[in-house]
Amino acid sequence: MAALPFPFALGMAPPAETRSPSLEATERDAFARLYATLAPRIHRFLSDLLFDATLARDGTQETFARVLLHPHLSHDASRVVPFVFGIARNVSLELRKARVRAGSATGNEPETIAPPSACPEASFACRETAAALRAGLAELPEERRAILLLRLDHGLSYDDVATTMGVSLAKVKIEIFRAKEALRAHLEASK
Amino acid sequence: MKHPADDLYETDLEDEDDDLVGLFRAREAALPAIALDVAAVHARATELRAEARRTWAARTASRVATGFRDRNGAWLSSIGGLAAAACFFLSLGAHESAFAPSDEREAAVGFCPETVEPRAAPGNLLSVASFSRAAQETTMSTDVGVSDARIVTCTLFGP
Repeated sequence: MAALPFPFALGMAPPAETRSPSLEATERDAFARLYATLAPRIHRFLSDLLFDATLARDGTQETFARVLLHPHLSHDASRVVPFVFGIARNVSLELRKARVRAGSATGNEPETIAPPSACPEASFACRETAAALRAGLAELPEERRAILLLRLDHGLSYDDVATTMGVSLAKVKIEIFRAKEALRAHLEASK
Repeated sequence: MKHPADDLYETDLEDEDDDLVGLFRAREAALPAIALDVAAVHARATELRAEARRTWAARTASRVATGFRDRNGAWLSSIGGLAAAACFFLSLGAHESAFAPSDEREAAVGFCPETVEPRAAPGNLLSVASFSRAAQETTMSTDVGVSDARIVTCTLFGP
């Protein structure tokens, strides 16, 4: 093993996120593809966690900026999706904390549910369903909601959900079971 | 090893045909496309790198300086300061744009901002204390947009 120059020999090598941003062309392409593929999903995930369009946009940008600090991951398709969702979850928690701080300082309600604007105006049934789904999601605790979304909306495997959330596989199964029950009950009640 | 919950919720592993999945799919199909701005992401990533670089450099320099002060006599504190300085400048020099002006406010402040005073005492050119202060001020310097290398140079050698 080659000797490291001072101060890296003292075990003080700079962390990966401080490295030069000079990405190879292939890395830039890989990141661009990753961004085009995952950004809409991450935006939807953050929107469902935060219920705030502006925060979801900011959070999406922040998430991918952090992904860029680890450009080598763009090449590993099997690891990258749970990794990006994990970053998005952390970003959402940070944004949530910041919003609570700002909300408590200004006296605003920290969490508000955005009006359902996803469906075309003509599709009344679609809008109603989207609104009921969103309201049902809003009633779930944050962690349970995130687990349910990762599995049902974003199709991550149970193992990947457990890795992303940093919880056990058993907990993932239990949380999904309970979240489904609660969501179905809400949808039934709203019919 | 199989967990008891595996049996209890085994059926949930087969949720591809779940009615709720259908709802999520329908909603996804109806969502409008979002505007993608890769350039903004790259710009933010550059900011994050610079932030991490400053934090790491200041922390490393401070650790080296503190270590020398705690473990060695006063006469070695100069070496400690030198080591810390070398460590700091190496860390900055290893990355591009570390010595570039951070923004326009820097030009208005001048080479040495008023907040930085020379602390190089006679006979102790690079004292650990002065370097520790420099490291601390470096982290604070982001508020006024003064580059890391410049503020340390001013602190150690004066305006």
